[in-house]
Amino acid sequence: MTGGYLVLEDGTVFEGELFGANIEKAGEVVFSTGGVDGYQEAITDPSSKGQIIVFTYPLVGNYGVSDEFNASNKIHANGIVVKEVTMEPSPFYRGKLLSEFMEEKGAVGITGVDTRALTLKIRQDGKMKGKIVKNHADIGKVVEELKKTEIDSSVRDVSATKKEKIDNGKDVTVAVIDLGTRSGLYKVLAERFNVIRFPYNAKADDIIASGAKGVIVSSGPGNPNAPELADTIKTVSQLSSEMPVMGIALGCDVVALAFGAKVLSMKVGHHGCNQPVKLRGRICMTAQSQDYYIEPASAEAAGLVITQTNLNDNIIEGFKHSKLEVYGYEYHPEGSPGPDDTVFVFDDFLNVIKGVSQ
Amino acid sequence: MRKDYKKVLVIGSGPIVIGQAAEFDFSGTQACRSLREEGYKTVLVNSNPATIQTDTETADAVYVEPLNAETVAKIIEKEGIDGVVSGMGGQTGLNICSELAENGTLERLHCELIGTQPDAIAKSEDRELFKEAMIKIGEPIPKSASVNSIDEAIKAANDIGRYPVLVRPAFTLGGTGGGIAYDEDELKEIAAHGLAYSRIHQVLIEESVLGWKEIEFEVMRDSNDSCIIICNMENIDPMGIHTGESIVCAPILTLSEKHVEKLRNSAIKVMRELNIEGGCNVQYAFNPVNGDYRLIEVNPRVSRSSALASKATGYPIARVSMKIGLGYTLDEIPNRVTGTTMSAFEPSVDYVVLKIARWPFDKFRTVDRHLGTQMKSTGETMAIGRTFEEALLKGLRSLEIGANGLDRFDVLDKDIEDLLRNATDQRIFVMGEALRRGWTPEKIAELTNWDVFFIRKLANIINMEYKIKAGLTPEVLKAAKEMGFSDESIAELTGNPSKDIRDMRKKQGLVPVYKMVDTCAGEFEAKTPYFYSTYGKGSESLPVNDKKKVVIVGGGPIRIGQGIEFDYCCVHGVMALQEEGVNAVIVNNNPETVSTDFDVSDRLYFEPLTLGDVLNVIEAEDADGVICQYGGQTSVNLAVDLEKALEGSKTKVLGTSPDDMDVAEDRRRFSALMDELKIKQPASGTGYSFEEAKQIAEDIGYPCVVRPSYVLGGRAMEIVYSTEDLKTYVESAVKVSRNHPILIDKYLTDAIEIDVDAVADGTDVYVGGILEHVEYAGCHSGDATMVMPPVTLAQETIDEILDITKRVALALHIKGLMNLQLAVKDKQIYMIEANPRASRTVPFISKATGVQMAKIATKIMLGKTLKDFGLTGYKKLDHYAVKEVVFPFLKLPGVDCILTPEMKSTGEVMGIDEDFYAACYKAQVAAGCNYPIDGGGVYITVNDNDKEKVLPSAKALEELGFTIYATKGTAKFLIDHGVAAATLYKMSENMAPNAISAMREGRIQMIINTPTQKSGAIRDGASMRRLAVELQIPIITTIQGLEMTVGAIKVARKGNTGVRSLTEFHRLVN
Repeated sequence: MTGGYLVLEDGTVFEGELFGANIEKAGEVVFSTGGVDGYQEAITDPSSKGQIIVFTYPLVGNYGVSDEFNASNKIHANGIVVKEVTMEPSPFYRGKLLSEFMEEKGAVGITGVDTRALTLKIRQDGKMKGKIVKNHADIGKVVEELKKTEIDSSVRDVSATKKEKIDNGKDVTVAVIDLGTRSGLYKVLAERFNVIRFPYNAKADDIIASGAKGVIVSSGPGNPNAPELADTIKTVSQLSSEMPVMGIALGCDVVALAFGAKVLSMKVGHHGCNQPVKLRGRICMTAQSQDYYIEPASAEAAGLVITQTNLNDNIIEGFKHSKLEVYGYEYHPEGSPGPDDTVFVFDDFLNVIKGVSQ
Repeated sequence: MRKDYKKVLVIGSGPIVIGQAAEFDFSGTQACRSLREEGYKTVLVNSNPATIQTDTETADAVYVEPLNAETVAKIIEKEGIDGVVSGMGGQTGLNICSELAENGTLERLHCELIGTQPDAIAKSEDRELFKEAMIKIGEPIPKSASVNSIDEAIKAANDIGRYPVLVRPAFTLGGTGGGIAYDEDELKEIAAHGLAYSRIHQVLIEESVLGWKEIEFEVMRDSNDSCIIICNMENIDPMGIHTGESIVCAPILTLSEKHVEKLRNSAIKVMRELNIEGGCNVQYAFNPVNGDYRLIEVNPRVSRSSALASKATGYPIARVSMKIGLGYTLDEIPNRVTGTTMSAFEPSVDYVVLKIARWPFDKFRTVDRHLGTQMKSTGETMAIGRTFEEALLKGLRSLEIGANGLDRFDVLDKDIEDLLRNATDQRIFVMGEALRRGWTPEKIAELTNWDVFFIRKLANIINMEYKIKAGLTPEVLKAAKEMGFSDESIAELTGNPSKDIRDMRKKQGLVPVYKMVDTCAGEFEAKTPYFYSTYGKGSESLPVNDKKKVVIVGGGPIRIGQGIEFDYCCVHGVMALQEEGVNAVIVNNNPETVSTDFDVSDRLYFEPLTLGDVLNVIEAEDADGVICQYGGQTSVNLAVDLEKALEGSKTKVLGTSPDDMDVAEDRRRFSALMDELKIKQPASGTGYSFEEAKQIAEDIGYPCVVRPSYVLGGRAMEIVYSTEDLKTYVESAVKVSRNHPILIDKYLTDAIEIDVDAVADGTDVYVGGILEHVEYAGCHSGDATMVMPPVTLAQETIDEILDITKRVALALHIKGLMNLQLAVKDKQIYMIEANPRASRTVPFISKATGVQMAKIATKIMLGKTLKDFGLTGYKKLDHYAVKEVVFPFLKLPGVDCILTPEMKSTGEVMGIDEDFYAACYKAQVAAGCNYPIDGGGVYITVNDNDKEKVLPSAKALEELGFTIYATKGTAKFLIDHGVAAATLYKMSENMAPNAISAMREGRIQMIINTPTQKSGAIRDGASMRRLAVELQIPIITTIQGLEMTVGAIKVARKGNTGVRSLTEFHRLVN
């Protein structure tokens, strides 16, 4: 490993050692409280595109990397920051080293960083741009460049490129508008639905014509207000009067926008698997990669009824439209990775579709 | 919804025993606070006076009474209690609640259980019901069968189809009486043992999952059926080693997200099926070969693990469990750590937590040190680090076993394999040594069933040792400190004084930063004043106000000789500082205790208690003072070095000066002072070699008491009767205490020993209590039964004791607490020792009198005087308080139960009553002595000296209807003096009937055995005593103890002992 630095756009520098691919890369620096496990799932989640993830747990890579844990077949995160990357993992899963995996997939990491100090900084100052670099000499230049850099977190590259049918031998078929889905979603859907996967820019008519009885707008990276999603929002708006709609994470924001609610950037965001919501009278832990939130007054004006808020900070985590069968969840109800305390919302959705169809 | 109760009872867990330690003082205290902040009238009962929960401030009424269903029922009735908390008093509390529910008492008294309900307790605790429930929800458990006899056990093992099988008794603590049977013969033996221990005479024969990973979840559930995981933990030692003995890390470090979620979902499912409300511990075996798992056990209450989880995450499990019991739901209970969020979340941590057990094997040289399913450790330490290595090195030096880290271990190459395969307390050091000698981590992993992941961490430590030895460059020093090496350890490796390492490090700007334990890995701003050290950026323990700051050095892990009583004193120190407007800072590493509850002090540092670690905290805090009187020998031993290191800084060692403390600790200086004060001491000398020691012993005459200087709990203290004894002793004692000589004192045969605890301010002295030992001098004071006030001393003797106490306290310039140990023989008073610090008996005396000595002493250290409190002279009592102790013999095969100068007890209880014998009775019941109240056989075997003395008690026993058996000599004497005694022969006499078979046949219900005071003879009765321990036949080893017992039996026969709260007794004082 060679020395390197994480430079933040405000000029703060954290020193460490680089691992993974031999590149320098910028991204939006966010922290994840996910714990010891789930690092592979996190970096291969398309939602992490454009992000440099700071893992708050200090030991990362303890059980290595194994194909079965991939949330997609790519590393989407722009980089990771850890206190200690494990070079000698537990052999149980017989996989490779996290650092090898990152090298193979072209992602860079920095280890040896006081990630708690960094986390506290982000918590106080908010998420910000940063870059993992090899050289310390021209920090000023790096900061200047960073300020100008637009981090690419577009949905375009992580969405499906064409329509794809997945027959699971079920009675009901749903469409998934793929904004950058994780493999875990399909596992959960497979137990309940046949699935037709659509690219982010699919047209409403195509989806209606496909025979899908409901639509799920998936999670994905970046800003829901990005221009590239304008068509998606329009599509969702059209579909909502035709069939039940369920939005997950980024998809939840897209649905909210489709009804005219305001979606704003969070100062820090929720990244991890222990975000509490209350659903059906019970506390549920949820996995989240939430960076945007629905402004409450605008939600009400848009006819969205808030069904759940985050028990830590009262951010809106779920809604239902006052009249339509339209649902939104800011978290990943499918879990995997993360708790599946809320997986039953897919059963609810199935029942809604069945009810509407009858 | 908040439930209404008129008055709520919290049941404590009684004396400290192996398997049940200070964690229940912590949970019970949190429960009481939680109840009272909700406005409930609260009553607490616990027989253990050395607890914070038995402070009269903790509850509206506090009862120090024996913990059994009968007594608890009396309290319920007297106080008009309508809610009893079931889950805060460990297995003891839970069993009492089960019994009260089963026998209809609760119903009769219109009383509910708060927290886990009787059906849920039964479903979790009764193996068959548990199994049924788990099969119903499809959770895999090891194949097993509950059996009630040995024949059934064998059949069950055959059904499972392979050995080894596990034997687990139902309703016991810490796995008492369990074991692993590798064949049918072993099964017979272990099952017999287990059946005897089980309250319901039932054991479980179970499929072996030996070698699998052991995983634990701490789960919390409320009445809305919300379930959250507070903490998950990985036992680094595999299945087969009790979790109380295992090195445990939190969180799980080696399982994938998929597997953690699978177990998490299982734990929640189990909670729901068992319908447990509140905190609960679920244990799994996880097969590292194929990912299978088995559900092993559920504890439907707070536990040792939940105390650990609370300290590991900052989530107050007991407090939240209590609120749930009262009807609140998780989203209604504020998270005190952040102050802004609720308790409905799963904590995330950003550090490695390690728990390591502390074993009492240093006290028991003959004990079997192997670790298994039966718990043998008395305490534990917890360490927090940002890497595994850092946490481990901190943990090892927190144990206070003389290790600075992963120290060298003296072992022969040929023994390594066996020591790796069969775990003992020393295995981790053997692993380090094996790595040093070139063993591969893989090979060590194979032998130990550790995940090689952890062994490679040990290898990193060993590699760093080589780097340090190769040359301590600034880079290496930085890397070593970041890995967790102590200054002392680096000093040892490089051959430098540790002060030099410290100076070098500080010159390099290498000082620890302190990170916060905040339950949320930094996600939210937290208010917890709870910190640990590491090397990195940005310290978080910033000054909060401009009040004075005083650091209290804690007592570390609980061990024999240094128990919960020192934690009590530390907590009282904290309270007193706060009452005086001073910020109280605690440094300690014991996760079980009240002192390490982040709610207790203004600042808590979870750190090892070495000079280096404590100094770092003092410097980081820029403290005004440090208190070394309260953490037992741990803190006392630091006093002199701390003062030296702090010279010229603003931090003062408060109270009695370290130099005066040294006068008391250093025999030569102390003897000189006693001569000056004309206070008698037993003839004594200090030997720096065997020859010197031998000469001294011959000069003063045998028998002698020998010991190393600076001892804790009489470690390695012995009575020697001959030069041969002395020689044997010196060979082993020198090893115990490297740089200190041995002390030789004349042993005062048949002397009465006295403990005195006093507070002094430099001008006045207040004697809080005089305790008379029931056993003769020579039995360690920690093991002695004690009576307060003294019952056999003449007033003039008491007056002289008071005079001596005053003169010694003033001569030593005591500011704070002092304990004296005196011996009275032929009306002469001898000084045994003076301890210029909080003693083991301080909480006992405070509970008996209502005067909180530790608090007053703290305030004196801050500059107040005794006059400010209106205290002077001596507190007289109108009631009796009897201290009885409990021993770990049952759990430690190979240990003789005879009392010696070496302390062996783990805990204590108090019996308090207006009537002396009633107090004795209560103490004995509370200590679990099951004396035969209703009669039976008594076996008497006493030495010649005691034959005359035993006569009155023997007569009394005969009158009470007991059948008297005795050894040949004793029987003859008794018959000659009119007591009908039947003769039982010793094994060695080879004649029937013999004592051993009479015991086995159940004819003996109590044994009186005073051994001849010669070393050989003490060993003679050992096998008989061991059998008595195993059969749980009470054994009395002194005549005084017998007299008390006879009195107690008479009280029991009358059967109407009452219950009274401490406040009611304290009223009697004035």
